[in-house]
Amino acid sequence: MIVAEIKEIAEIRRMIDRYSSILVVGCDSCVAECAAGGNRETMLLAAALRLSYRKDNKNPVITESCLDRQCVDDFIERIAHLVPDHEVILSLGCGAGVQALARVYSDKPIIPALDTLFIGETEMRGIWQENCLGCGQCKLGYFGAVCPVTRCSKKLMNGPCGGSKAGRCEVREDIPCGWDMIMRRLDTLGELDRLEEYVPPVDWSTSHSGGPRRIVREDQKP
Amino acid sequence: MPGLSLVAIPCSGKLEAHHLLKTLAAGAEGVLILACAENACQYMEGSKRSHKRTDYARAWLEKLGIETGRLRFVHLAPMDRDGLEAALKEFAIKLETFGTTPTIAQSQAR
Repeated sequence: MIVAEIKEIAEIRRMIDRYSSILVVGCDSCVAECAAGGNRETMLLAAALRLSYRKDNKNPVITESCLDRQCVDDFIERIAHLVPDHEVILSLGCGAGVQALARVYSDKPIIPALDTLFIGETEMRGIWQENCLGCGQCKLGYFGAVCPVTRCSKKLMNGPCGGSKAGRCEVREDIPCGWDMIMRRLDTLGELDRLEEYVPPVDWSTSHSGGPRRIVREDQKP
Repeated sequence: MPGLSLVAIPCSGKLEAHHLLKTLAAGAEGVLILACAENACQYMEGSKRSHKRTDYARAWLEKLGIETGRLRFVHLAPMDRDGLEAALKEFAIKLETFGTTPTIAQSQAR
């Protein structure tokens, strides 16, 4: 899922203070799972904005709504009846959600309320871990389902660097060494021989380095 | 007690930060959260969770420049009437020191 964090209220206020009616729109998918932009957080941010404006004796109209998914037109259209009555949409979606809203409501300013951070997993409630960079050539099968591109700070594909100490990364002590995880996992599985297989250097042209990616599938089109 | 609204929830663990901020945004001067003792929670972690969520809501108030004391968390046994009265009086006195904030406009109170 996409993991994000809510921005500081001061930054959000700087972006929306010029408007007198604000539609706060959450997304109850990925960013709900990471407790940043779901229904709860939409209510929280709307209430915080009301309090913030009330403190400054200002009185913008603030309406809140939450979409099941903010990156798909079928869902986005469900706020169509609210949009004309507001000068701006404050989105608690990820960057994709914000841009999808901007595409659909092309005459409306869309302001992000979140900082979109990474593709990751809920390791446990309250802890979200980045574990995929979307490089476009998944090689997890070679590495015991531990991604060297993401979990190794240096994106090494052929073993740990000299900075791996006691299972920790030299970049920061709180980062587990990705290669330590790969070795231990393959050892547990009895599949250390996987590492004898040659894995060619990563072709970064399939990652974002090759420009914005797009998939077109005729069988899926309406 | 005048001006007091009582909101009963099945367990304080049902409480979420947005409930607290919404209540303040709707015009309440403060919210007193009454929870069972942590070791007496029948749902194991309800009181712990509501305590953490109250702290999170307080952190929001701090960022907003609003007195964090407007949210008060108190452990109280279910039938402790004296404790309840004392907690309410103490909270009311504390809220008076904060003074009132401008009344929220109707357009915001949706």
